[in-house]
Amino acid sequence: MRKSGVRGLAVGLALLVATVTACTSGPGSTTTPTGPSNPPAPSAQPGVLRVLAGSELQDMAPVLEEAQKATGVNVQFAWTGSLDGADAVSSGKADGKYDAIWFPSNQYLHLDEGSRSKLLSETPVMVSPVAFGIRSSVLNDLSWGDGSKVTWGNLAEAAASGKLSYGMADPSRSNSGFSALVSVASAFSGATSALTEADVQKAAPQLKQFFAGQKLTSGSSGWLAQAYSRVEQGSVGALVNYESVLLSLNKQLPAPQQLTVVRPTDGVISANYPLTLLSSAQQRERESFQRLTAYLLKEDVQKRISELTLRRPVAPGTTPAAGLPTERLHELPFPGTRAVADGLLSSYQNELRRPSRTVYVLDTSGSMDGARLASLKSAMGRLTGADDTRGVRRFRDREEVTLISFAGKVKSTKTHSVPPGSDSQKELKAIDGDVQALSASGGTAVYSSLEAAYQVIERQQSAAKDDRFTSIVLMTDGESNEGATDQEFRTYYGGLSPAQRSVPVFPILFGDAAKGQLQGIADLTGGKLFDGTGSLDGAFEEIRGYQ
Amino acid sequence: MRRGAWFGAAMALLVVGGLVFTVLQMLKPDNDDPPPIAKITGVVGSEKTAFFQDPEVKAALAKQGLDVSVASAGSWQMTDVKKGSADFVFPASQLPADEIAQKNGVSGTLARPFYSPLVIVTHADVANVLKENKLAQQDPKSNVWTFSMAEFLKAVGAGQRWDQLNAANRPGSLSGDIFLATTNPETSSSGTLYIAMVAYLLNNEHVVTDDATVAAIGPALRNAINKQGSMKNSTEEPFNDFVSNTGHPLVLAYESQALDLTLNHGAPPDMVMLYPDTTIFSDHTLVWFTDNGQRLGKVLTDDPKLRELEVKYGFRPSGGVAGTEEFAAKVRGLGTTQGNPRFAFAPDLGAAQIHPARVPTPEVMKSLVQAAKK
Repeated sequence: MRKSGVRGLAVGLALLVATVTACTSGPGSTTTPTGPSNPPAPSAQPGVLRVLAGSELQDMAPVLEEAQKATGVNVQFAWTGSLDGADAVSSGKADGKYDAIWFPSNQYLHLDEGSRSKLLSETPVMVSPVAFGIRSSVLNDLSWGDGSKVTWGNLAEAAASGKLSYGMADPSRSNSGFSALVSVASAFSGATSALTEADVQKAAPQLKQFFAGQKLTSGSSGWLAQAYSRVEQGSVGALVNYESVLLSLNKQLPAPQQLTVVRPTDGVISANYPLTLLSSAQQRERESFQRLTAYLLKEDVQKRISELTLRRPVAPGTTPAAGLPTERLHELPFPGTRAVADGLLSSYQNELRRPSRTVYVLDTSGSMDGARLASLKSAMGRLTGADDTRGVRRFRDREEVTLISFAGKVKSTKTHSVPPGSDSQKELKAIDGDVQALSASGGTAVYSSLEAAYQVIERQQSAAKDDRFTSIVLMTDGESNEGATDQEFRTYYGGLSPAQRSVPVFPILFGDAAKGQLQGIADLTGGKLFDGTGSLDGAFEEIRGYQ
Repeated sequence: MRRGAWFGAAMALLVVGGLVFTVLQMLKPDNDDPPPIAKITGVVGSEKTAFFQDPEVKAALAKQGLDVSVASAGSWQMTDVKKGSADFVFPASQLPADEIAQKNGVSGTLARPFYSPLVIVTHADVANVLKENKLAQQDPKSNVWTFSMAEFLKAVGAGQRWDQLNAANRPGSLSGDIFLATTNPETSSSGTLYIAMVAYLLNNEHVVTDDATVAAIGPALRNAINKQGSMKNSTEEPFNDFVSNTGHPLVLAYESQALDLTLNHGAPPDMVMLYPDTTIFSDHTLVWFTDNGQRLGKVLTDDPKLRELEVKYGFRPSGGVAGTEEFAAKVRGLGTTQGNPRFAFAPDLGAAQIHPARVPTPEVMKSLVQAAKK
C-alpha cells in the first residue's frame, strides 16, 4: 500500500512538472497536440525526438504512444524512402532538422564514407527478412509444396518460363527491393562472399530472366501491396517484401489472394530497423533517445512489437509472435562498397529490368506561363541529367518516353526511345530540348488529353508488340474546362481492354489544380496522387519509382 | 518576579528551539550527510549502456556522489566528441581513448577499470562442424572451447567454403565462404582489435611495427574482412543479429556480451562461445574532460560494489589476480553444473592456453586498418 502511495505521489509530481513545462515552453506548446503521426517541429523541443523514417515504421504508432506514456518521449516522424533518407543524412541535410533516423536498414548508408561522422549510435529494434510471398495456387502449380525448399534459382526459372509473376519495390529507393536484388544477384553469380562488380556481370543473364517476371514496380512497399490487391486474379502471383509485411497483408487479403512466405534457402537479407541517433542531436535529445531505446528493448515491449508488427524481436529471451518461424536464416553478405551497390542498381535500371513505356501528359495552358512553366521545365529537365549514380531519376536506357503537351487540346506528341549504352546521352539531350521548347497558351482539357495518352499507348503497344512497365503521368495546374468531362472519361476508360486498363495514371497536384478531379483519376486507374505544390522537382522524381 | 519572567522566557525559547530542532531532524534524510550529487554526462560504447542504466549501478554511483547519464556511440565515432560537450568519453579500447585524450589535451594516465577478451559466438551444430575439421576444440574438463586462429586464417586464405568441410551433420543454413562477421574497423573497437589480432598472427606472432610488413600482409588482412561485405558500426549489432537467429554463423563479440547474456537474460539454447587461441583484449579506457569525469574513472576502478557490478555485466575488473578472482567467483559453476555443458567461460585465460596478442602503435594501427579496407 505504502509503495503504491509513493508511486502515486511520484506520478502526481511528474504530471505537475509536465504541466509546468508545457506552460512555459513558449510558442508552439499551445498549438496542435503532438503524437507519432504529427510532422516534426522545425527546431528541437523538450521531450520531442524528431525522426526521419521509412513509412514502414507507421505500424509502430501504438507502441510509440505507449512509449510516450512510459518515457515522456514524444516521437515526431517525417517520412521518406530508405535510400533517399541515406542521401539526406550523408549530404548533411538532416543535421539540426532531425535528431534521429529510423529505416529498415542502415547498410546502404554505411557504404557512404561521409555518413560515418553523422551517426552517433545505432540500436536495432526488430528484425524482418526480405522474402517472397507466393499465392497458394501458384505454389501448387509449381509443385513447391509448402515453399520451405525453394531457392532463388527455382524462382528465376519459374519467372523465365512465365509461371511466376511478381511485384517488387524499386531497389533504387526501397530497402526491400534492394535487398531482394542483392540476394538474387548473390545467388546467381555463385558468389560465396560479398558481391563484386565481376559477380554482377556474371549473373546478368540469369538476373534478366528473373526480372522478366516482375510485373509490378513501386516507389514504396505500401503502394506495392495496394497494387497487388487491386490487380486481376492470376496476373500477379507473388510479392517481394518484408516477411512482416507479407504476414500482415494476409490478415486483410481474401483467401485466394493470400500469400505463403517463402524464404529462399540459399540466403536472404534481413532488415534490423536500427533506431539511429544523429551526431548533430543535442544532449537533451540524446538522453531522450537513450530512454526510448531502453524502453523499446524491454522484454514485454519487444513481445508487444512482435505481436503488433509481426517482426522478429531482437532482445534475448523474447518469444516471437505466433506464426513467426524460429529456424535459423542464412544471411547473405551485403555489398561492401558503394561502387558495387550503385553498379548493381544501375545495371538493374538500365539492363536487367523490363523496360518502361512512360507517357507524360503536360499542361501548357495559358495559366502555366512564367514561373510555373519554368518549374515544369526544370523538373522534367532533371530527369535527363547524367548526375544520377544509382538510377533514381534519369530516363533509363531502353525506356520509351512520350511527351504530350496539351492546353484546350493536344498540342504535340513526341516520342523518344533511349538507346542502351553511351548513345543514351544524345537522346536524353533531345528529350530535354523538347521540354525546354514548351510554351504556354490556351485552355485546359485534362480528360481529352488523357484519352489521347491511352490511344498513344495502344498504338505503341500494337506496333512494338513488347512487354513493358507502362504508366501515364499527368501534370496540370488547373481544373479541366474543355473537352471530355469526368463522366465521359470514366465511360471511355471502362471501354478499354483489360491490358489498357492496367495502365495507371499518376497525377501531380500543382498550381490551382482541382485535387478532387486528380484524386478521382488516380483512384479510377489504380495510380497515386503526388503533391507537386511544395516541390515539383520532388514529385517528378518520386514518380520515377513507379514507372 | 523578574527572575521568574526570565526563566519563563528561557523555557519558552528552549521548548521552541527544541521543537525546531526536532522538526529539522525529522525533515533530514536518514543517512548522515550524503555528498552532494553531481550530474554528469558521457559518451560510452554501446556495450556499456546497459551497465550505466542499471538501477544498482546508479545507486552505487549515487553513493559516490555521481549521477551519470550516457549516450552510446561506436568507439571511433567517439573520437569526434569534443571537450565541453561531455564530462567523459568511455570507448571500448585504448587506441581511440588515446586519440581523444590527445585531441583534447587531456594528460595523465587514463583510467582502465575493466577489460574483456574478444570471443566468437556460434551455434552448437556449427561448433561441431568446426571441431570435426580441427578448426576448434573443446577441453573435456573445463568445457572451454578454443578456436584455432591459424587453421582459420589458412581456410580463409584458401577461400574455403562451408560445404567443403567434412560434416556428419551440416546445418542447412551453413553455406558460402567461411568468414568471421566483425564490425567495421574504421568505426568500432572490436573491428580494429580484430585487425590487430590477425596482423599479429600473420606477422608470426609479433606486433607489426613497420610499413613494409603492413604492405606484405595487406592482401591477407583484406581477405580476413572483405568477404563479409558491409560491416556494422557497433559490436552490439552483429551480436544481437546472432541472438535473434538472423546473423552469420561465426560472429566476433566481446566475452562480456556473452557473459552478460548468460547471466542476465539466458543464452539461446544452442549458443556456443569460443575463445580464439590467440585473442586480444579490449581495454575499456575512460577519458575525462572534467574533475567529476575523473572521479568516475577512479570509483569504477576502486569501489568494490562497482567492481562487483562490472562482473555482473560480464567485464573483467582490472587489477591482476584480484580482478581474476572476482570474475572467477561469478562464472564458477556457469556451464559446468549441467550434465552436457555446451560451453564454459575461462577465468584464467593462460591456464586455458589462450594467448593475448598485442596492439600496435596508433600510427601502425591506422595503416593496418587502411590496408585491410583497401
